Amino acid sequence: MNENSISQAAFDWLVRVDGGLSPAEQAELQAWLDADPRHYGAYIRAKAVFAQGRRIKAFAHSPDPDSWSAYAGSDGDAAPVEDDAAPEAVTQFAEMPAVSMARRAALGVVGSAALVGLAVAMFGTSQPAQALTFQTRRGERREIVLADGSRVALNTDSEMRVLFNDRWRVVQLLRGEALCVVSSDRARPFIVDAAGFKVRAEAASFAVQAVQGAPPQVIVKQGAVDVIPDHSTSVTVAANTKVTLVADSNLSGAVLSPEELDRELLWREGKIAFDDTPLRRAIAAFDRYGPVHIRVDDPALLDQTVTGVFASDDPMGFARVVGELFDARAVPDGQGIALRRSR
Amino acid sequence: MVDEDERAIWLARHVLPHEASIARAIRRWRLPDGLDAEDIIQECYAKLAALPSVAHIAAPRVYFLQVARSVLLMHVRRARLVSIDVIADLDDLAISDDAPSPEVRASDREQLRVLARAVVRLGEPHRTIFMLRMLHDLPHRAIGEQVGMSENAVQKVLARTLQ
Repeated sequence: MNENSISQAAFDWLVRVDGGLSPAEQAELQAWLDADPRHYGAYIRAKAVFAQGRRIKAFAHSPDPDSWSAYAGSDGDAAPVEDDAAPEAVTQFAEMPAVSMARRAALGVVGSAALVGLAVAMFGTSQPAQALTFQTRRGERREIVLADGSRVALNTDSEMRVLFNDRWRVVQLLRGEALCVVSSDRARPFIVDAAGFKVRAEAASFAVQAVQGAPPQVIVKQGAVDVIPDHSTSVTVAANTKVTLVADSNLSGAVLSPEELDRELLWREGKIAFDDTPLRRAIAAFDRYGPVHIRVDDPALLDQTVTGVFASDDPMGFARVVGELFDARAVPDGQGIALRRSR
Repeated sequence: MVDEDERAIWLARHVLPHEASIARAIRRWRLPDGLDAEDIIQECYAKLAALPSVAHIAAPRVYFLQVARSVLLMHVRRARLVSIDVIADLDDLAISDDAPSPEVRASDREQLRVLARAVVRLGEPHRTIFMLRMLHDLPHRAIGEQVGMSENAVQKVLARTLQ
């Protein structure tokens, strides 16, 4: 499309229209458009590219592209102002090299040689499809609909890559927690690839957790999945079961009651449930959801256990409840919360 | 009367992101000599632009491929010499339309991220000119004054940048 001379002429016309045409030029354009249906098509396509380019207005709050690298790069996620509507468009992306390198290289060559056309960069026709990366910041949750109709709910501080082809549906969970509701496709198994193991399903609903400082786990809600540790044989896991990957590819399983299952997946509603959980682990759980850390002045308190359901975005509310339970006071302390034993 | 600008925005959101995949699908078809995928895609854009309404199009990629198929058929019928291969191939088109393609749904936000990356990668003066026009809404003449170029040169840069 890009080296096509009709396309080139169409973009030239579009920009001239954007600058304003005299009546004579207007007539010239009309004659060109009428000459061949491809001319009008290419012109409309150029208009569409222009319209897409206008969406850069979403960055009006931060008009210097040099400050976007965190957002445009693969590991930042500064939210743009534009709508964050439900997933809708089926999109395919061309390969994008690392931003900072490309930018530096581009700056070294002044003039048209440094040009990377937007239409080529965004909709290039020759590059292979690339994985899409989705991530959430601390405290953020996201629902993603994949092309096959499967749904993935991504919990706080998580990152996943989606790599679909005509034989596999692979989701790499790089970190965090994801609940996958897999739509049936016998020809293409759905595979969640996490560090140390894979989960394979045809049609099932299951959650995978790969959080630092805790053993990875899989919870099957509906259907059945195969859990395949990297260095061990695969195990089929039925619904209402939680499997934890303990040291060196050993699996330990537990059947969950419906209540327990609900509690494990409460994060989807922005809640955390504790059931006789040591305070040190409960505090670590809150740390996953936000920067406000709860400090405890009495180490003995950390071994006390708590039970209950709490809002994951309200560590202060949680600290107050703990304070009442154990005769301590929760007070703001710099960026965090201090839990001080009453003396 | 169709609002051309509105239609362009719809095409930007619903068709452009599929274009690479559409072009790949069309290239898999056996095309008659002298007709390439780009020709077909341009004709399809013209047809989509001329539709009275696009509200009924739920799956733009599949719809686009159906239009592409009819464009191809029209060319094949119009051609004097019709290759048997082409005709035989057309019967299979419906199947290849449904062939799974490596697509994933992405939010608008992901599209925007791709746009941002493309802009970050632009060289100068293309990036500055693009930003002044698209984000700051400056007319071409004012952009030219700011970057020390003629209005005409600004237009050339903008056209190549978009393309």
